[in-house]
Amino acid sequence: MEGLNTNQTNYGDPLRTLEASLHGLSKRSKAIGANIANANTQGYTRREVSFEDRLQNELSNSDLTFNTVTTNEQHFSEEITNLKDSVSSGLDYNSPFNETNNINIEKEMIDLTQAGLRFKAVSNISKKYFEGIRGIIRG
Amino acid sequence: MDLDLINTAASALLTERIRMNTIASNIANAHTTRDANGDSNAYRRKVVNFQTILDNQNNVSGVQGVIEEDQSDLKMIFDPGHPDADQDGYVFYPNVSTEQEMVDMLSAKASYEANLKTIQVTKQMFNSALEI
Repeated sequence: MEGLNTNQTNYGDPLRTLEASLHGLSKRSKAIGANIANANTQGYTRREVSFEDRLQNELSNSDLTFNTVTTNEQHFSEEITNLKDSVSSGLDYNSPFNETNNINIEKEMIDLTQAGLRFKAVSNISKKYFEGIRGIIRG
Repeated sequence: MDLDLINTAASALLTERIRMNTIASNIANAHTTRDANGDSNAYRRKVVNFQTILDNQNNVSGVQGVIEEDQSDLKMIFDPGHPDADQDGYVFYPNVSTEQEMVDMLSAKASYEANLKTIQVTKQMFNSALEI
């Protein structure tokens, strides 16, 4: 995942995009795993990783090489937020689902499955990308 | 991508198992009026309180359980013939409600399964990353 920590990341390169996406999905599944693990913890606030919007922005400027400075592994594409300042869907996560915390286990399970499937899709695309290059090399 | 997630889920599996053991102990001791030394001292219901574990970067890296005693009142039942009855004829029974333990047990089971699913998905992600 070094591509994310270099100071110059060119998102015109499809491999960098795929890599950023895989990295983001992996971070997301980690956050979901932590949420599920803490489903019974009193006063726990759920974590969420959002990176698609950021990635989309960078992609629309993909002719440009943009500069990122990372001093912390959380700085770049993934933003870990607790749900006080991020609204992602119709559900209101600010109101507690139960007495102990604001975790909705069904939603977490669906998000986890989604992240897993997306990861599989992106890694399949990466595989295809390499197969294409391999084809070009062989001629 | 790292293996941290599996450790997080594993800590939750362990905690849910501790919770299950505690529930089993509560149900087993639902009528216990004496402590381990044989003194007249009713069993108190144990509860597992969950605590988030943070790593040094303040990310959530798991969960741990702390076993504590339920401080609610013991059940006082009038039974003068009971060997552990006090001078007024009341026997103190544990503050265990079997119904509540059953519900907790289902909840622990569901959480255990949810964390197993997390491990499964992580494994699949690893495998697909290895296939690139």
